[in-house]
Amino acid sequence: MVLNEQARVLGTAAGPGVAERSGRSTVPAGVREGARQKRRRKLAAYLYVLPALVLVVGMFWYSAVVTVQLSFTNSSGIGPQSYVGLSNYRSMLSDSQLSTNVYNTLIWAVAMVVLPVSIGLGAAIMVRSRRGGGLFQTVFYLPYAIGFVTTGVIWSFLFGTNGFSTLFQAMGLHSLASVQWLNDVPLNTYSMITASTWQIMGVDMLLFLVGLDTIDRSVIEAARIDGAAGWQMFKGMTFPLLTPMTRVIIAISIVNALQAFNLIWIMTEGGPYGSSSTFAVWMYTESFELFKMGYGAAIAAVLTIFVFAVSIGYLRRSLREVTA
Amino acid sequence: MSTAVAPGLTATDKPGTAPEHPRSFPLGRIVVYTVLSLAALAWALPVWWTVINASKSSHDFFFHNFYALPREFDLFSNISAAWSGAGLGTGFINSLLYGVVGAGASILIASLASYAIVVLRIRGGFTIFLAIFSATVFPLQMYIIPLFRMFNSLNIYDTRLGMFLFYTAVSVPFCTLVLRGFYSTVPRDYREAALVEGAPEIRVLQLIYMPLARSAMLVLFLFQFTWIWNDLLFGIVLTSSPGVRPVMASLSSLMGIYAGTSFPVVLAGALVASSPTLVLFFGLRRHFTQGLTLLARRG
Repeated sequence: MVLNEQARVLGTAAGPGVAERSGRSTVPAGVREGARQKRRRKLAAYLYVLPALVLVVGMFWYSAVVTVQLSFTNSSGIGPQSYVGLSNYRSMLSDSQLSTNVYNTLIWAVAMVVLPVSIGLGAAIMVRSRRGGGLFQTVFYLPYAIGFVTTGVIWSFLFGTNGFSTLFQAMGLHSLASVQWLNDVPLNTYSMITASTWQIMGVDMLLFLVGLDTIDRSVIEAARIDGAAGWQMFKGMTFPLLTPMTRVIIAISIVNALQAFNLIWIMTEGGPYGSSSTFAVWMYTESFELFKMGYGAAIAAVLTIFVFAVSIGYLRRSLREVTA
Repeated sequence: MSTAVAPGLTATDKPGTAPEHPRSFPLGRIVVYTVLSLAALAWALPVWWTVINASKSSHDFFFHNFYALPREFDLFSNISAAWSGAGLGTGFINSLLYGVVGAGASILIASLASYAIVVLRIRGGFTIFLAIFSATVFPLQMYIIPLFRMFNSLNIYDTRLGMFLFYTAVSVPFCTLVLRGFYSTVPRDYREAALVEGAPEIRVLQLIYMPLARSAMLVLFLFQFTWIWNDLLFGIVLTSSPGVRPVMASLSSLMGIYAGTSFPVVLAGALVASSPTLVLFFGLRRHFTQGLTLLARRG
């Protein structure tokens, strides 16, 4: 998931390949063909892209267009539907759930940028070329490898009645023991953010380690000879040199956090009473629990606008810096 | 700006104040190791607690502290209860199939497309590439309603065929991005030499390009298999019966059924569901890091 997102971010910035730009002939010298054969060869080349195009256009481009269309209807799924103009968008504005969902989605976005990214950066700096660093890397990376559904199951157990509460009880911290981590608002969102940070941090650390590897050794060595070390080295040299990677990681984190669904679906299903819901959870609930698919489509469309606004703003800035 | 980056200020300029090597501050090292160990504890303990609680009987789980060691070792009976409950076992096998077929087929399909775009240089190739690559830039929520309706009207809702098609399609854009980049680095003489020898185009792809891309394909397989294995959203939207559901959707239903009565079974199920990605990630970690490097360099 994270990685697909990264590919999206990077790929959009990648630009056209060298090969397509130069217009060299594909027919090798020394092979003579008739015009008919040549045309057949050209047509055959299009057959190669056909499966990819059919699958991707048929499933994804089609769906994206249909979702926008549906957002102007009162569709309930499979039965008849009629055009209702902007009424889905209008009722979204007056929906009492709107503010909770906007608020939670923003909290997720901010927290997922701040927590896993900064902890991941700190971990990368600390484990790098240090004795035993590999062991620490493995431990930090473990939650990413077990996947988010299992992460959700584990933390549901720890935040449930048989989890941390019993530990606090044993320690005599009765006020903490009575906290319902997944029921109290807004604590439930923070609890799930903790679980998500635990899961994602390791991969951010790995990305920063890759970033650190691409930094020119001689520059760092020169700074070290100049007497830079510790915090000074980090602030003056390492962090600025890591900026391109930091940018990519932050962009991926925001885009993913705006779509937060999986962990929430496992741990609270957005409840109790929608209090821990986000846009993605809200969209799913309206469409597949209440079968208000027109309304769900409108929520999806608004979410898309958010995601695009963030990624376009971000990409444009980083593109400018890369090309400058 | 620190003095560290000031030009011309080198150790040889001021020999008297030559900096100490960082190694000479053991205090700093002690602090770093303390912080790292505490963090590692916070990261490892939840996994440890999961393992010990997955080994408990439900009675033990509900009546004793979660951090206590199990009184009897019930891990295997919990695993077998999870495997047969809520279709987790079938889900496991389904997802293995979806992952292998989806990742494999998408690599083949993306390979063909990339070859046509980069090597055969079809007209409009770059536009076609953009159309393929950017098909999945929308939030996933943009796809689920129309796909649900489409799968229903094509009678592939809640079928393995439908899931094969979906998982293949969803993996194609990323595979095309990577393979297009890879194929554009292969020297064109290879193909031209083979064509002069009379080899048909498809053999050039099969015998020259694809073997050269083997390591990139392994990385792709690892990434896409993991994505498919971890998918929950499309599993719950596009399927309903335990015989077709992928593993994460089954685990989610297992949680709904057993969370109140026998949590150790759910935890054991979660461990089972995580085992393939754990094996892949730690077995092929080098390839995974390679994949990340590959992505980062393109940025």
